[in-house]
Amino acid sequence: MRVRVLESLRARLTAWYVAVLAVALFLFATLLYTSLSRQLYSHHDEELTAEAAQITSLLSHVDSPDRMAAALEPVRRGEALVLILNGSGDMLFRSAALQAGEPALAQHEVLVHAATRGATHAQFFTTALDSAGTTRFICLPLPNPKGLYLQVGQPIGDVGETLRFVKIASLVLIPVVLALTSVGGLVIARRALAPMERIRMTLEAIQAEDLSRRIDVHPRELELGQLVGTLNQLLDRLARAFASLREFAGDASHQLQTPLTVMKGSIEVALSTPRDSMAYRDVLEQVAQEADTMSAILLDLRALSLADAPVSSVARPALQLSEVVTEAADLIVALAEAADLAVDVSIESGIFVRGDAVRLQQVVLNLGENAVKYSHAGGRIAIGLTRHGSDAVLTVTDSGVGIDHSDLPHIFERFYRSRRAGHGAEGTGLGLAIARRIVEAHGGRIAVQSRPNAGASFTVRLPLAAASQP
Amino acid sequence: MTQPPTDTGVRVLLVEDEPKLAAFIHKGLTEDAYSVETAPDGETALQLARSAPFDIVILDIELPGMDGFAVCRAMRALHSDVPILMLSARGMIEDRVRGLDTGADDYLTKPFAFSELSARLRALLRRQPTAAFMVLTVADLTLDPVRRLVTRNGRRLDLTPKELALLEYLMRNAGQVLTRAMIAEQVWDVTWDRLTNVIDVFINHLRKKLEEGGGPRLIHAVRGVGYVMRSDDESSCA
Repeated sequence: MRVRVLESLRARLTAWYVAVLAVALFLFATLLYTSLSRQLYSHHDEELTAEAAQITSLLSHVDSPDRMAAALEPVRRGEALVLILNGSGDMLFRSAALQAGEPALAQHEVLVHAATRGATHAQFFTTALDSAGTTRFICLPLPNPKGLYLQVGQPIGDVGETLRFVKIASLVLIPVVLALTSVGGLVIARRALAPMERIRMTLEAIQAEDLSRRIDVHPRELELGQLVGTLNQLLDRLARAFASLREFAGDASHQLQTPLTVMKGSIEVALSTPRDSMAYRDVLEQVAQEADTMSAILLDLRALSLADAPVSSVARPALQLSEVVTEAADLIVALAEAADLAVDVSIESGIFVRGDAVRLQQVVLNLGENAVKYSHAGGRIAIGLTRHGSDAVLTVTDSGVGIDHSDLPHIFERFYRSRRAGHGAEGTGLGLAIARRIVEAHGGRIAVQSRPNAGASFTVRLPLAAASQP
Repeated sequence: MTQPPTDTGVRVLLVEDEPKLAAFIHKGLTEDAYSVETAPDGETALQLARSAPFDIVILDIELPGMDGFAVCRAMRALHSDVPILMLSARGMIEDRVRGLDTGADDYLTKPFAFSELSARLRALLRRQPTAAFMVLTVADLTLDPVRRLVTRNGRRLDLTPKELALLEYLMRNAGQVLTRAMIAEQVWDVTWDRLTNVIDVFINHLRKKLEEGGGPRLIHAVRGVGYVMRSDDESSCA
């Protein structure tokens, strides 16, 4: 149970600062007590020193202990508490006040302590006497007669009282203050942590119900505000990852359905009656082809799910988009050549953007492949890279079949197959969707202009990195 | 067409936990006259490798228990130089780089064609790395990798950097069939499914430049697989 209590941040915070406060208060009380007692005693100690000096002077001409009594006669009769001891602790002289009121004086061990130890300079001590109450004593060795110690006392009733009061007050008040602080601390901690509790409850609701919801708590505290911001960003990424996972699973199961059906069907038909080996061969070849299709779909689906991973552009170094595009354009030129197409490449050098070179190259390859796919033999393709304002502008233009007006808004959607897809072209229907996601993950935009039978022109704008800004 | 090898005596260790995949590779390799032992997990594989040396290891990355990267490291500690071909369903460039960094000699992504696997095995088995700075020669063709100079029959050829890289790869592996995927990985380092189509175009450019002076063809297509570089007299005696 104790462990459970301390697991609560609130209890732990309170425990910590109550502990710190207790140590502080204890130190404070101790310091107060010692300095106060020193201060209060020093007053008495001065008086005692003066009185002792007087008596010492009375004895300055007395050489033998036997003749002390006469010299001390005025002292004996007064109120003063005066005592003279030898090194063995024997009391050779007592003033009247000590004689009368303190029959058991010799039993006060403290009183003889300094003398028997052979004090060499003035020492002070405090003891309680029956008649005078708390009494402060000075003990000092007498220059005359030698070997004796003079002790002068003074009742310090009020000082003792004051110090006792301070001690008791501290002992009582410190626990009271600590108790009050604990309660106050718990209340403050609860209030400070209340937004945390609200954030927690919201998060619980979000994970249970709807990943698209966000934490709608606006704590005034900067730290908690930042926490909410970070949590919401995390939720954004989670929601995106979730959506893309769901999309991947859905697309995969849906898109693989067709080739699987074809495979299963053709195998079953082939097996239904005995055939010659050529017929089996045909079927096997068809199955191999369908398997290739499935493999291509999976590859593109994976590329699609990776395409919109955000590019943390701050962390990434600027890359030469000009080089990336040049390399990709070389490949498109070769692909176009195989399809009997000519390609005009015009790439401005020294254009830098921040991002992922592999993915940006994929954009150029996908657009180029698309252009080749929808061109007529003998047609022309143009690949260009320039800068415009604060953007790098990539254009891929073909003179091919073009895109129907009604298809234009949809061509960047996954698996959207326009009528032009019937142009003897194969593909997974994902190339443009992948391109758009990559461009958008890089903070860019992609657009298309086209008219049927008048070709298509794709334009990609990406924010320039500082290095290439004129 | 590659000639079916008569018993090669080559011992292959296949580490693959998918029984069907293992069975198909086993069957194919046995037909290619390799002697194959299969291990379903890394521990078994290491045990087998300890008891008898293998000439080559085919290692899947996704294994139960110890993964392929760990097995690869352990294998390297055991036989420092056995060629290791990694198989993986993960085609990311990062995984590929990690596999090669762990000590694998080649990396093949699933799904793959058996002919691809077989070509890579042959390439790994016959690999005799030529020092990077040594001048390469095939018939009357020479390539100086340091000066980046290509001559055929003493006549200097003018090649683009990609053509040079392609030619260098072919010449370093002269006599070996290289698949388009192998060429794509080696010369381009781009993941693009159309790359294999593009390679034919680059090969044609290269052939044209090599044959301008009238010399015989050195880069030969191997139907359904890829390309091989060899001089004709070599092929006739092969």
